[in-house]
This record gives sequence, C-alpha cells and structure tokens, in this order.
Amino acid sequence: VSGLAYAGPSGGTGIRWQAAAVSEDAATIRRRLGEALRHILRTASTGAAYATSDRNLTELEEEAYIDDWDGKGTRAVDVLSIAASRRFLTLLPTSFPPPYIAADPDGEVSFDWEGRPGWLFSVSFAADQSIAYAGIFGPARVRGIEWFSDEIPAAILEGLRRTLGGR
Amino acid sequence: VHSSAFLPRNGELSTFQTQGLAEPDIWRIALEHVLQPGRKVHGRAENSPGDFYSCDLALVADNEPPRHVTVTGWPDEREGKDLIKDIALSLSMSARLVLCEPPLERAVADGAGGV
Repeated sequence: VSGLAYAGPSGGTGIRWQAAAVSEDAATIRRRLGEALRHILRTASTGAAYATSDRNLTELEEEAYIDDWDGKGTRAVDVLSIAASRRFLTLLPTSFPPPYIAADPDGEVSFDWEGRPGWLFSVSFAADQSIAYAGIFGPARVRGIEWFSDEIPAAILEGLRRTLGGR
Repeated sequence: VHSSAFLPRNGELSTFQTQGLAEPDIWRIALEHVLQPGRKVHGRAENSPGDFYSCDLALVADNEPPRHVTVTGWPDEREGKDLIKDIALSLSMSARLVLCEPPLERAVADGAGGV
C-alpha cells in the first residue's frame, strides 16, 4: 500500500488510498486497513447512538448482576447474553436507531424497537449465542430463533428494516 | 412498554385487577405490593382481559394479595422463546401506558413507607 489518507466527517470524501503492491502480504494489509477504516467511520457516524446503548447495557449489567435483583424473581443477567448484545450493537447498521434495552426474567438481554404505531420488533440474546426474535408489522407477524456468529442474521435484519421503515 | 415486562416468570405473569379503582388506589397497590426497596415505579401498563384471552392466556384471580390476578397458560419454554416473545409483543402493543409523575419510591430517611 503506497498511500493512505483518511478525511474526517468534514473532509468530504472519507477514504482515499492507493494500493499498488500486489503481494499476499500487501493484500492482507490492505484488507486489514480497510476493516480498520470502516470501524473508524462507523465510530464517527454512530458514536452517540452506540454510546447511549452501551451505557444502558453497562447500567443493566451493574443493576442486574445477582438473582432476584428486582425483587420479583428475575434471574441475574447472563454475562454471555450481555456480550452477545454488545457485539450485536457493533454490527447494527448505522441508520438504525438505538434499541430500548431491558433484562428478561430468564436473565437474557432483550432489545425492542418501535416503528410506526402497531409495528414492533424484539430480540433476546441467549447464552448459547442464539437470538429469539418476534415482530409485529400491522397485520403481519414473524418470529423465530437464529444463531448469531459473525453477522446479524438476515431474518432479523429484514425484520428491523421492515419495522423501521426500510432504513 | 418494553415487551420484557410481559414475559412470564416460571410460567406466570403477576398482575392486579384495577378496574373501577380510583387513581390513588391503583398507585397504592403499586406502593404496597409492587414497589421493591431501592427501586422506583415509573408507570403501569393497563390491559383489558380480552387482550390476554385473545392470546389464549388464562386469568386466575387468586386474590393473594387482594385484587392479584395471575396470568397463566403460557407456552412451555421448550416450545421456543420466540413464541413467548410473540405473545409478549401482542400484550405490549395493546397496553396503555400510564406514567407516574413523580415516580413512586419509598422514603428512606425516616424509614417509613411513603411516596
């Protein structure tokens, strides 16, 4: 990689680089730089929304770390569920608003989004890295369970886009 | 109202029958039977019995404490949490949120219960 420049939000074009080298190492470096830049851009554009959600998750973690934390028999929030929900936040498209965050009675973290009246979508993060979801879109409904690995499952992204008006 | 508020604990959801009660009496129930030490009640969700029946749930008026109603008939957890979330979303959507301004909390300075 012979040249690289990053222009911030006021700089207009965002990323400029030149990649003249052709070796395998150069390709690896180029790919990793691209990932890093995408991360930087993402942080710059979604910082406030992500920070709000991350702070809410931390508050939940601190409040709900023991069983029966609410006096109603709710289980302590599961650390693996917290970790999965944090990872989900980092993968969420930048155009989506931050979710409403809560703890489920079984210790899972859940996110809710509300679209126009009568349009709701909710996900719960299990310790086994599965995500249970349900959505209501006016007269239509969806629900299911998906495995969560490196990407937000397509069915959940579709449900979110539908709820939030095709963002 | 966040849908997690409508998820059952051990197959039951705890509610109170408030029909016909004046506002202060409803909040008194929250103060006496819902509010936990160190926490606040910011509001309540109101649903009609029909909201529960339409989800194939049952209402059991056990009156322990008075006016307490347990919502039963939830699907087994082994049938999938998505099914339970689907019901919770329905109840959330049909609920009417009534905020408590200011939130209910117990006075701690004098050790007495109060708002």
